[in-house]
Amino acid sequence: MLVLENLEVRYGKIRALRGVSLTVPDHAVVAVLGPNGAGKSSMLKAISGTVRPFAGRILWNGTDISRMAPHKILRLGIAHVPEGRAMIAPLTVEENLQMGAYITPRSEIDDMQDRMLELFPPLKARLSTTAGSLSGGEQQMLAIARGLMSKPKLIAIDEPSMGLAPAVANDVLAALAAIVQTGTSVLLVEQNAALALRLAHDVVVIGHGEVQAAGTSEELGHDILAAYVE
Amino acid sequence: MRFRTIKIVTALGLVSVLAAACGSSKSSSTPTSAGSSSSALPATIKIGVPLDLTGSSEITGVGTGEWAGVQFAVNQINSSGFLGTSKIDPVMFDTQASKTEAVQRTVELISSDHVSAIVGYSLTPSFLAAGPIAQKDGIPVMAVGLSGAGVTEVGNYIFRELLDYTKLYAFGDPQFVKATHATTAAYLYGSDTVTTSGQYAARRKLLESLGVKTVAVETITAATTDMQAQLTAIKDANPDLLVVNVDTGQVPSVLVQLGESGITAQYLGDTSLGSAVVTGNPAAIKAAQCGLFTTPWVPTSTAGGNPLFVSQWKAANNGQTPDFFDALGRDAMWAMATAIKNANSVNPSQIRDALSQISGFSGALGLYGWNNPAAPGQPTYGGVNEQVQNGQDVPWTSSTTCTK
Amino acid sequence: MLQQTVNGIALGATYSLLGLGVTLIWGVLRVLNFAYSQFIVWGAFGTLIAIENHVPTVFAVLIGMAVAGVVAVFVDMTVMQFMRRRGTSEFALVVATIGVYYILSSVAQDRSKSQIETFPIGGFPHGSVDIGSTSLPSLQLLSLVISVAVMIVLGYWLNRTRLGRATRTVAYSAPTAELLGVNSRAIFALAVFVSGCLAALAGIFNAADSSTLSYSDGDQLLVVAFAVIVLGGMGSVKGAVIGGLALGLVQVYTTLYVSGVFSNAITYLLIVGVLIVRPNGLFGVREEARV
Repeated sequence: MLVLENLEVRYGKIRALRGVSLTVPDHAVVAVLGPNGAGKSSMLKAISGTVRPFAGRILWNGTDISRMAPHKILRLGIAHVPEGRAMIAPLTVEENLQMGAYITPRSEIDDMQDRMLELFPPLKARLSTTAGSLSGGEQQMLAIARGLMSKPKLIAIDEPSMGLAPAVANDVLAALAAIVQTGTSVLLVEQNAALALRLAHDVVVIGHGEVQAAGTSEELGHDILAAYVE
Repeated sequence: MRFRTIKIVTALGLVSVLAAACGSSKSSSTPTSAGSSSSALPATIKIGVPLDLTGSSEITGVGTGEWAGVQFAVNQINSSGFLGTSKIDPVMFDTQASKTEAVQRTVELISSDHVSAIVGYSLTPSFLAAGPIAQKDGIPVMAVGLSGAGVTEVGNYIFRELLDYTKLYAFGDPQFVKATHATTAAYLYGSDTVTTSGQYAARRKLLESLGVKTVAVETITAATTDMQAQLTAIKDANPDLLVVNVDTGQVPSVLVQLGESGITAQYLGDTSLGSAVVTGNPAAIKAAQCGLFTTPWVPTSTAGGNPLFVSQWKAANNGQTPDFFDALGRDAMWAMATAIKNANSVNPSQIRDALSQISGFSGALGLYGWNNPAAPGQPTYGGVNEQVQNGQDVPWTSSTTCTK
Repeated sequence: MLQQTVNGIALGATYSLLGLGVTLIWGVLRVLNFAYSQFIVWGAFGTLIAIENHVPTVFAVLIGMAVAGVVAVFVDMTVMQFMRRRGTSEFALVVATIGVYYILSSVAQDRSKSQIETFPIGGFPHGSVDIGSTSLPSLQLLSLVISVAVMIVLGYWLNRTRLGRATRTVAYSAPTAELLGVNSRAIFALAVFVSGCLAALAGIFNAADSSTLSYSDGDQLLVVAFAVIVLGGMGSVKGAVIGGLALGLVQVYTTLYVSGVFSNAITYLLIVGVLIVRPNGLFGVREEARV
């Protein structure tokens, strides 16, 4: 279980998060919605250790991880698929997957890779292509697959649908649904509310660095869609 | 009148030996100083000692040796009372193998330290930049370690302790050519310093005048570490003689790589073959086997005051044998002290005159002087031919045999 | 001619070794490290001191490599890490490496009393090996073999091992590597250590070749190392090897056919020529894909 308590993130004088509290239970899918610049990405970065919170705590199964290095947080079971996909462009698709499995026991790597290729079939044909030359959809699939290679208990995904054609976005969503079936929690940051609501059970809306609403997708779904769809 | 002067100077030269003999033993009575009163001399006589101790690794071992020799002489001079109650105060500067440093320090020595004379300079280029300043200001200079040409040409205040090496080659090389019946020669030299390139030019001219044909000329610079290309070219030319003039610091490198190259030509080197950088390097000295060179000095020389110098040096330095640069530093400072004593003055022009009249000076480099009117400012000693045999330098004559 | 080509390759082998260390440091840290010149010297001195203390030569070489590696890591973890954390510019980092160079150089100069030390080569291969009509000094043959071996091992390590992939990932983006579980600081330290070891190896071969060692020996070698990686392509392992060999050959041929005096000038003119045609060097890749 991941718990954020009054999390505050600052970049110099800019307060990106102003005391956010939320909980991601085990085996849950939580969608974080909100406009551009609301602080969603900053929240994920704080969770993965990429930025240090200015104040507040991040508890992971009771352990305070708010000042840990990212590589240690991953070892505790939280993977972060950052915005922009963070491809290691000069490495091949297979090498990217192998890097994803950096902390995975050697005996499980091949099995994991097979499962990822099943989940994201387009990657199969491109294993020896460098990641930099993949299409946007393929890159997104690779980014998620790579995040899953470490067998995380929770995967935090930043804007998986960004820049993708609707059909491709649907494929990615289907794969995420399959991930949830395996018991991995998902913390999904999205601007595409319709897409997020199809997957998530719980929804948190963030604006101006603060939680503006929280509830189940049934409770909030209608209002949110009304607010988002112009 | 002239004869009498020479006689007196000779006598004083001998006194210097006596004083040296007293060494640093303090119990010895103050020398009677041959009737001259030291009252005209100040209590402290400042002498500038600009030497290249650091800077380029190619100079290392040279300047430090010279400085050790100078200090050795100063200790002897001061503790023996050679200048009566006056003491020599050496003002030392490391000129770091840099011309600008040499110039700056020379100006400083003359204008702020007010030295009476200068005993210094390790490198010909540094001296050629700084020497004219001393000449212009009328400060006598005994140049310690310069082997290049054009030193005394700077002016009548300039004297040199080390002779122009071209004179050494003029002495030794004809004997080597005759003994080896050589008809062809290859040259390997350092092209980026005046000293080594000047020596190459002089030697080549000399050998060609003796009928030795030039079959290959290869160059290296201070930055060269690998010489296989040059050595292969020399090997292909198959010369009788290989004439090498490179910076002392690079000689081990040349020797070691030469040893691997399969070149069989007779090696004609320079004084570096007798320097600690080579003799202390087992691989280099082994590769130098049968190498020939002419040197102004070897530790085993029995000429002049050398045996005494060597024994005193050993006594003062835990039994260590002095090297060439120690000997140069020692003689240069003693010569200056002798001139000051003879002049009985620290007036620069009187010191200069006294320097030019020194003869019968019994130093480490033999019994010599600076009074040859045909070569003003230059020392009058000759050279010694040597050969490297089984890791040691031995005296060479045309009947000496050597097997590789 | 054939013999001279062999000479050029042998000379180039040492150059490649120099280039490999610098290319690794550049590829991972993106800093031209001037202190590298002193890693060369300190490593060689480590070996010298070990040999003087009767350590067998092979172990003495390993000790020298370890000394340079540790010095390199120490410098990186103190000065460089400090400056990186404060977000200093790349240029300021380079200036800092020059400062470190002077500190290390002064210490080496002081400890060696500015003297040229004799580097004992009794334990190194000597003599020469005949290959057809040509002959090659055994020492140079060994340095050629080791350069090639280092290239293969380094290539294998970077491309085929878990740690090597992690190194390439850190080189590409340290934050991304961290997200994948890589301790990027440890990888920096590892790359710097290996780079220091390679510096020492080059320094030791250089010292053995001349049987002498002085505190300033690294200076000229650093210039060569920079030339090699610029020619071969910054951060490219293959480029460092090919660049080194090319440089060696060009130097030998110019020494032979033009003059030893112009050998450097011509070599560097040629590098400029290559850079005009290929701005990223022979095997250079664009900025985003180094090592």
